[in-house]
Amino acid sequence: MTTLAPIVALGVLILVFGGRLLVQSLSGRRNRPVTIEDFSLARTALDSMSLEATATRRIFAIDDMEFIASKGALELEQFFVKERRSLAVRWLRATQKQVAQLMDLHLRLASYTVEPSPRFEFRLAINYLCFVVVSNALLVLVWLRGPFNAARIVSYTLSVADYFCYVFNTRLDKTDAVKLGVANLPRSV
Amino acid sequence: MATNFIWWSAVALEAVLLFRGASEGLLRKYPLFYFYIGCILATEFLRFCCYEFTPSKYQAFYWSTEVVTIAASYGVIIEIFRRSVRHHPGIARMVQAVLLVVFVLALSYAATDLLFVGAMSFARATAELGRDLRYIEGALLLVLLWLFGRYRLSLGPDLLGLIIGYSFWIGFNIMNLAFLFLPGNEFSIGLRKLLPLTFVATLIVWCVALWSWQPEPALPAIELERDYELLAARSRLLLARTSSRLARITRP
Repeated sequence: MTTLAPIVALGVLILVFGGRLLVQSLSGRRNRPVTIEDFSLARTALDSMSLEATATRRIFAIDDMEFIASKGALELEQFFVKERRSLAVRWLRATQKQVAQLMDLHLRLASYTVEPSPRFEFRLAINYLCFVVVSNALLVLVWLRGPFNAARIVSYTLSVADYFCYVFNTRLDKTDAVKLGVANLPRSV
Repeated sequence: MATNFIWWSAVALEAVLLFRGASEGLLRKYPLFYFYIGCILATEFLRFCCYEFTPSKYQAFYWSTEVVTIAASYGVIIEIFRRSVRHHPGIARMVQAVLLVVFVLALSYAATDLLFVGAMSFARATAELGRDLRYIEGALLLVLLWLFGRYRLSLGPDLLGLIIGYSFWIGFNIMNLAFLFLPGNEFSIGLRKLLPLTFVATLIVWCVALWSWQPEPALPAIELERDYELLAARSRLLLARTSSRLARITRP
């Protein structure tokens, strides 16, 4: 029975991955090459992420909370925490979405790289996996304990997001935008 | 009656696949895949003859021919790999290396099983060899599917249909083989009855996908980047900085 489990898992994984491939292809995103529009959107996303960094730290900053607490109005304090929590959650979800989009673009570009480094790709994948886990943990933490008790984990998330920004920015700098597609035109071979 | 219907449907679909492949010029595009289909068709004909004229030898003959078709199905893996990464030389190199590692690992695992073949009957030994070959094939296919999903490789509709049908068939086949070698399992009886149907479903998928010659998806010009080494070096530097920052943050 112990030898059966990995074999059945192998069969199930093949079916799941095959299904995922079909869903990805039917959604139409896979067959679309990276376009200049994707490239520009990625650049805008990267710029906005670096601009937002200061504002983001402010969402989680304890100073504002201390100031509100010093006023002694409990209702105001509760309203403030609620507002900051909702802002933090929205920022986290937006960051997750942007990093996922950039990762998608990176992988699509990577498939056309002539000499990719498997080691670098592996490390990037591990970093992305860590980012997904930590950012989701942060989401739960913000929901449960509020945004002001998650300062350390926020610093980590920001530094990893910075890392991704740098990696993607460097990649986009190196990408020859002229060689990207402009429209989804099928090509007969 | 139902079994005969399924059997004849499979034979008819295989013949249709070969006919369409020849008339649409797909035989040249996917030679190894059509060789596999031809192999299955020939095997089924030979098995039918064996069953009619020498039924006592059918079991041994069945498993010997099964090993041959499984070996031929490795051609489909090669075909999928060759066609999907031909515009992605970098990915092709990476996939080749990963496939080689998986193949060696899976082969060593299967070889340990074969050490105990001596005490078995010929039919049982061939059956186990076929099963192990299928497991190795499954592991290789899984790696390919994972990489296709990860790097969002553009696949034409015909190649996509070929991969989907093949994954469906291999996935079910592996589960069936796993349960088949586990005696007294009720679930294996149900799966065994389902297996011919899954093969017919696979053939239908292949017939639809390979009915005619399909245009390939548009591809951007290759060599989008010039200095990958520089990019990787810079990224490594930043990764080291991030790691040290993380260490500082987590330090009590």
